[in-house]
This record gives sequence, structure tokens and C-alpha cells, in this order.
Amino acid sequence: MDLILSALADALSLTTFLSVAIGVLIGIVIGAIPGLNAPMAIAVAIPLTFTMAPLAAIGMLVGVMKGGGFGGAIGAILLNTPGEPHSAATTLDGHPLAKSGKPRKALQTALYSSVVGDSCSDLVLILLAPTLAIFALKAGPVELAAILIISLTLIASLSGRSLPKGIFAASLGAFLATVGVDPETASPRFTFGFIELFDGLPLAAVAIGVLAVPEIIMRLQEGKSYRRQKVEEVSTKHSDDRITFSEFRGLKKPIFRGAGIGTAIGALPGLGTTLAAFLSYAATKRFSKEPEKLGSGALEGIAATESANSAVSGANLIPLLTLGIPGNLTAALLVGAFLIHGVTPGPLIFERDAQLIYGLFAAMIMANLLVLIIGSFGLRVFALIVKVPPYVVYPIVLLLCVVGIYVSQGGFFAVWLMLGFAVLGYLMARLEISVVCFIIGLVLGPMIELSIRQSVVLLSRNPAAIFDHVFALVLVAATPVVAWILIRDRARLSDG
Amino acid sequence: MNILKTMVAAAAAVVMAAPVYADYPEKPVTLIVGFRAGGGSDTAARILATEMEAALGQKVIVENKGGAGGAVATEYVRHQATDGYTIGFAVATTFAFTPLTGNVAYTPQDVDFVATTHGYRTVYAAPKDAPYDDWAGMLATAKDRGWLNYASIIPLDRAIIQYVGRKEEIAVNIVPTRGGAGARQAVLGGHVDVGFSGSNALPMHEDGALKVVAALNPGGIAEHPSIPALADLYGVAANEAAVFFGPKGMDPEARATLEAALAEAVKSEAFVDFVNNKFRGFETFLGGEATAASIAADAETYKDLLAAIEE
Repeated sequence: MDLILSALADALSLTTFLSVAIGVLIGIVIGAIPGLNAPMAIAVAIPLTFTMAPLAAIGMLVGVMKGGGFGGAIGAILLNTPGEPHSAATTLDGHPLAKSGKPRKALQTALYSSVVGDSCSDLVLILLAPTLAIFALKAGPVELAAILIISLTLIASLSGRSLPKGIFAASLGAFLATVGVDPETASPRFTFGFIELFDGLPLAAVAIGVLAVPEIIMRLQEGKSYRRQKVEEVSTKHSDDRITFSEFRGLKKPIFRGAGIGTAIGALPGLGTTLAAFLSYAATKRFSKEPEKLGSGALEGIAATESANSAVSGANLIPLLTLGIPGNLTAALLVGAFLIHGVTPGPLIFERDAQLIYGLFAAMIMANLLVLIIGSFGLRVFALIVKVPPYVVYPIVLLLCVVGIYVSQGGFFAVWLMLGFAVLGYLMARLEISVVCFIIGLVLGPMIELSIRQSVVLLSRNPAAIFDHVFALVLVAATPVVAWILIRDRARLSDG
Repeated sequence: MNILKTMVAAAAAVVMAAPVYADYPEKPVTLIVGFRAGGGSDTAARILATEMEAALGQKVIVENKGGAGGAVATEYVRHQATDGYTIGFAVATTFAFTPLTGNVAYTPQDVDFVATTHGYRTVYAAPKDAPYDDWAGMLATAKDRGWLNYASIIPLDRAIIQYVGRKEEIAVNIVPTRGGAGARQAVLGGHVDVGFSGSNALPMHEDGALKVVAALNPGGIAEHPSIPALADLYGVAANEAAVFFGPKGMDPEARATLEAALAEAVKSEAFVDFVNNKFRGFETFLGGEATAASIAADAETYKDLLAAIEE
């Protein structure tokens, strides 16, 4: 108890508070800038923390992570320029709502859902981390493969109006995800001699290229006519451009469902934010009373994705702290910070570094409150972006995308790649082929490939061992049933 | 047109003739780190960069160009100017092993080595619930059953376990994993019998979260003498170390200055503490020539290793 109190005192010291606050601010600003994203923000902040005290340093990075999570929603909602694949899910409803003259309402929904989702998963982390980590470890390659296959089936309901086009887009994404060295033989696949492609296509460059740049081009094509209309809309509807308490209370189902999905996926290393965001969105669409409204600016859609996104970040620390396994890129960067400060993640972390860990927990709660406060002020400022003429905003956004990718991916190769994928994204948008399905294929493709190939190797000499994986077998058996239900309900679920 | 050509040639002659390196360094030096920001390799490089600034009297700017185990940075650095203002940081196997895979365009002869600053220790780790506690026990269990499930991270560790499998006549199921995290997950969850790991398995071994059964670095684990080194058992090893290098034909004076700065930097308190207590690698320092010799020797050993498993 003394320990927890002194940890609290550490967390509430001015240095820690300021570090966390600065971290949150850096995260929100960098996350909000199109072309940049949360992992980039952390990579920028890490060298700053080298000389800081451990709690202040790690608190700051956690602040960046949480701030970046919400910041990512800002660009996605206001400009339709997501900086990370999972933010593509936020654009589905966030951008239509902002476009219809309610940018603040969209941002508020994102902020509040994000903070609630994050707080829920932090609570789970604080109360259950060691137990949950042991349970999560039981999920090996066979279980992960089964989870991914059924998840992909569920997400397939987002394929838009045309199922064949959706399947085509997802297959194209999965195909491009095979670029890089083969995980088993280490021989290069489709790298065409470019050593930069050995580790696969740089996801940030592809995501920004295919999602954000085509939007920039199309907005610029609209020219000046778009602007005048836009400003009038914003000014006349300003009064109802905020979320009411009863509206927010009505969102509790999608928010808590998102928090649950995000926490579960975050606790299982190797699945990631994109899966959580789209799974939560698909589930909300399935259970919504008005599924046809999702995709045209429904608050439910924003709440579902943002709570799930943010819940992943807290839960990701469960395998990180207790097992030393980072669940995603952001968490991997945190491992580096732990290393610098001599903290060894592992089952004994709660004994050896107890004061630091409880201090970190307090700092996480503090970071959530700071995201809420700084975010509330920030979104008023950011919401003004929609009043700026697109021919002023979008060229700047394009420049930021180029600079961001150049800096974070280390060179022009990634910039050319981004521009190449922008052409692909533009063509897909014109042909009404779902870019979202493409991104899902690209992100989940390698995970499914790796887990299936791992399962095959593991079971190769002892195929009967498959019957030890009851959970996986149940999921695989359920997959065709789920697919059948989704196809049956397709008419009701498809938008428009 | 002719005048222009003459002018260009004259300008080039002046530039080449001028003793520009007289008081190297007269501007900031860029250090291209071949790994992403935030990992153990990057951290070591950043500590050394800070320490080098004191010796050089100039800023050392760290830039990360991660990818393909240091190969992306190597390709970049070897095409830069040879004036000593752009140098790289990668690991020994980037030069000694990666070129043998036939997937990259460079060889160890295509760069000039500046120094080796510290060594990496790598191990095989088994789940804590495994029915064996040491290497011999693991082999006995595997022989009894007929196969061994192994989590691999990089082509070199894969080649080494294949070699061991041949020597011990055990069929090895090599499960590919992505990065250290995937292999760690497979080991801790008990999904494999043994997996490759960096030195971050050592504190977990001491905590009883997993069992380190063998060391792949030639010197073994000094603080755990009971853990055997594969070098002693089979004569194979992963000789991994941090290597500073520059483009081929680098100005000799600049290279000597950088080597001297690094020789000082590795003695700093911050770096020694990092290597021993946080990174848990080992202290070692080699100058440029010794690094080249060590890498050439490693390359020969790896060639034999690859030939042996392909027989």
C-alpha cells in the first residue's frame, strides 16, 4: 500500500505531470498532421527521453501514444486523410459527418469514445494484466490463424455494394502484402532487386498513398465551387454542431463493444489495431438498429472504431509488461524506452519495478484525462480547418504527406511508392472499388500467411495434434456459418 | 560548350586537389543507423554518437534507415561521398552473412570498416514448463520423439539449427517468426520446444520465465557458465557485433579520426553501463582493419556452414 501511495506521489509530481502533458500534446499534434502518425510521433520523442527520469520518460511516451491515437482521428475525420490503416475505419462515418457541417460533433464523438475505450482497457491492464497475459499466451499460431480467418469473414460485410469488387480489392491487398522476403525461406518475393522492399511494402507509405493522397487530388479537382458552399453550411448549422449528453449515452453499446473487442485483441500479441477497428465497426453495423446509416455519418460508426482503436493501446501493454512481447509497432518502440531505463519487462516486473509500474498506471490514467482536456480545446481549433478553402489546405496536406513519409521511412523510395499507390487509390475510388478492403487485405494478409505457415510446420510431423486445438477448431467450424448469415443479411446491411 | 566543359573540368581538378580533410571534421557528421529508432542497436548508436561529439568537436547527427538487417543502410552509405561525413552503423552479420544469401549487391569489400564497438550475445531459449532444463536434456527429448520444433528469426540462426540437427540426427521443424517478439511469444506460450533470442532472454531466464539452454555467441554467457556455447559443442557460432563503417575509399585521415573517437567513446561510463547492464552484450573493441579481418574470417565460417547444410 505504501508502495502504491509513493508511486502515486511520483506520478503526481510536477515533472511527471508536465512530461505526460507534453507527450499528449506532441501526440495529438503529430497524430493530427496528415502524413504523420502515432508510431512516428513516438520515434521522434524517444531520443528526447534518454536523459529523463524513468517514470517521466515512459509517461511521456505513453502520453504520445494516447495523444497520437486521438490525433489520428482528427486528420481522418476533417480531411479524410488517415495516417494509419486503422484510421481508415474512422473516416467511414467521421468524414461524412464533418462534411455535412458537423466537424466538431464528429471530433467530440471520436474524443469521448476514444477516452472511454482507453480507460476501460487501462483498467483491465491494471487489474488483470498477469492473469490475462498467461491466458493470452495459450493462443499460438493455430489459434491466431483461426481468429484471423473468422475475423476476415466478419469484416467482409464491409465490402460495399459489390461483393466481387470487395473480394478483388482484398485479394489485391493480400497479394501486395507478399512483397518482401519469404518468412520461411528468406528468398525475396516481388522485390525487383529493391533492398528497401525486403521487409515488405512500408505500410505507412502505402496507407497514406492509397487512402489520403487520392482524397487530396479529388478535393483539389473540385476547385473553388466547393469552398463557398462549405462555409455557409458550417455557419448555419453551427448551433447543433456538438454532441449532447443523451446522444453520447445512446452510444454506450458501440463504445463498450469496441472497448471489449479492442482490449481482447490488444491482449493477444500479433493481431493489432486495424483488425480491432474494423471488427468493431463490422459488429456495430451488424447489430445496429439502423445499419443503413453507417457509412453516411453515423455517430455509432465513429464511436465503434475510436473506442476499439484506443482500447488496443492500453491492452497492448499487457503482453508488453508481463511477457516482454510488444503487440505492435508502438509497443515495440516502448520496449526500447524500457531498455534504456533499465526496466526489464517480465513476470517479475510487478515486484522488481513495482513503484515504477504503479506510477506508470497512474500516469496512464492521468494521460487519459489530459487527452480529454487538451483534446477538447484542440478540437475547437482543428475544427476550423474545414472553413479554410480546400485549395489552400490540401496542397499543404500533400506537402506534409511527402515530407512525413520522406522523414519517417528514410528517403525518396518511400515517397515514390506513396505516389504510385496514390494512382492506384485514385483509380480504385473512381471505379468504386473499396479501398478499405484493399487495406484490410494488405494488413491482415501477412498475419494470416505467417500464422497458417507456422501452423503447418508445427503440425507437419504430428497432424493429430490439431485435435488439441479445440478452440481453433470451433472457430474454423463456425466460419462458414457466419459467412452464410452475413450473405443472407447482405441486403439489410449494405449501405444505400 | 567547350568553355563550359573546361570550366567544369578545372573546377573538378581544384576540388580534388584541395586538401579538404586537413582539419576533419569541420562540419557535422551524419551517422546512418541500419535499424529502426528505439531498439537496442539504435540506443547504443545514439549513446556512442553523443560520446563521439566530445572527441570530434562536431555534432553527430543520427538518422535511422532500418530494413533487411542493416542492408538498406549499407546500400545507402556505400554510395555516399568518401569524405567521412556520412558513416554507417550495422552489425557484423550484415557484412559477413547477408551477402552469402545472394540477395544483396554488396560484399564486405565494398565498404571501409571504422570500428567494432561491442558484442551481442544470442541464445536458444526454451519454455519454462519444458520437460528438460538444459541442452542435453532437450536433445534427449527431441531424439526420443523424433523431432524438434524451433522458432527462427533470421537466416543465420536457421542455418545453425539445421547444422545442429544434422549433427545430432534430429529432424528440426523450423517455425518462421517475425522479429524477436514472435519467437518470444512462441517460446513463452510453449508452442515450440526452443527458439532463437537476443540477450533480452537472460533476465527472463534469471526470473525463471524461460530457460536459456545454449549460447550462440562464441564466448558463451560469462555469468552463467553452466549454459554451453554451441561453438564449443559443434564449432558453429553467430559472431554478432556492432560495426561502424563508411563508403569504400573513405579518406584515411577521417577514418582514423573516427576510429580514435570511437575508441574513446566505448570507454565512457554511460556506454559501458548500457552494454553490460541494460543491453547485456559484451565489451569488445576492434579498429577498422581488425574488424575487416574478423568479418572476413566469419564469412569463411558461414560459407562452410551453408555448404555443410546443403550437402
